[in-house]
Amino acid sequence: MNCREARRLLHHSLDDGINLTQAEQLKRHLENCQACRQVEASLKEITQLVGEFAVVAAPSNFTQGCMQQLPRVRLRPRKRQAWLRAISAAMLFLLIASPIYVWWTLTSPQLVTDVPQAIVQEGNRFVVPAGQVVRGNLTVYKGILVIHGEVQGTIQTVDAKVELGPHGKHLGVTREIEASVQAKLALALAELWEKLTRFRVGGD
Amino acid sequence: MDLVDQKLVHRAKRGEESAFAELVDKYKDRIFAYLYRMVGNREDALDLAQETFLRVYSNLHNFKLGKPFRPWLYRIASNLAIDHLRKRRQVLSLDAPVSDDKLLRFELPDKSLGPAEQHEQAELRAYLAQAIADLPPNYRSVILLRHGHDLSYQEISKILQVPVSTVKTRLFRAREALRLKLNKERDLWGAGGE
Repeated sequence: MNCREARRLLHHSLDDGINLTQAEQLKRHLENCQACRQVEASLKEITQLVGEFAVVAAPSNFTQGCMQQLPRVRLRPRKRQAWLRAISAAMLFLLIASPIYVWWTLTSPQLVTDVPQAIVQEGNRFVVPAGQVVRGNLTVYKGILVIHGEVQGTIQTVDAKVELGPHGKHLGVTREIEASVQAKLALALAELWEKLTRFRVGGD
Repeated sequence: MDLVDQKLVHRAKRGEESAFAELVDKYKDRIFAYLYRMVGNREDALDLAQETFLRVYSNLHNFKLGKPFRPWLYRIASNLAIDHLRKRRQVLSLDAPVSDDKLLRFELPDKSLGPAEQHEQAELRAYLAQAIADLPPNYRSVILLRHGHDLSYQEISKILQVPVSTVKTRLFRAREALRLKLNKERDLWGAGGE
């Protein structure tokens, strides 16, 4: 055994112990090596001194002082927890509700116009009844615009169709828009935002 | 695992303050001593020790019965000490370095030795105290926990949240550093002709 190995064993013997064979080998080495004997003595001294050094008594009123502080901490976590729970419930609700809302908006037909009172919705059909005259522009999203009366403005269609009844008239231009996914999403989010702000203003 | 601790924790969790007071009483010296030797300042150590127990108290509901209590307690104290040292280093780097000579004092002088030996022992201790204070906090905590608080590798690994192999390495290096420093000091005395 060389000194390097002996010193490694000396350290190990201070902690998790070494087996009998190793102890025997170490003993034989120490008998013949003064330097390692000195290392052994130093290590023992150090561990003993660290042990003494580490002992310091706390003041006698420490426990009392600690116990007096307890009411201060007891209330804090509960309050914070209730608050956190409310926040996380709201977050979870938004997380679930917003995709549903977006999906619902994306798949349901919409009609945007300046003169909503002239148009009747029947399921996914928007009907301009016979005798009605729409003086303005129409934008139809998903669904069918059925004209029995008269439309004088421009009609924009996004994923939508226009059906002209036997007496229906359209004096303006028809523009078909091919909607990209991003555009649809943007539309849905814009709708959501508008509803939320309206809700907030209405609530105040 | 300490059954007395488990019972006390169980009772404290149910809201018995007297059980918690018993826990504080049982561990206050160890936790205070550990923090004192880590941060080297009595007032800071007292604040940190109190904060340790308050954190234990406010987190009792998170503590699972059956898990050892002692490493958990030391871990909270350790984290507070490391945080404190980190903050203080930032402050100190702005001001002039401050040496805290209270750190260097042993609390228990050995009365069994003669005056000359006592003097030498005192010097050796002062020197060792300085050497421990000079160790980086990571090494200081390992050697204090192992030889000052008689904790096992496994417990220290849980307290400091590092693998057992890291604990072993740090312990080895810390002891070697202390040994070499003490040797150097002894050589100086020898050269002085004592």
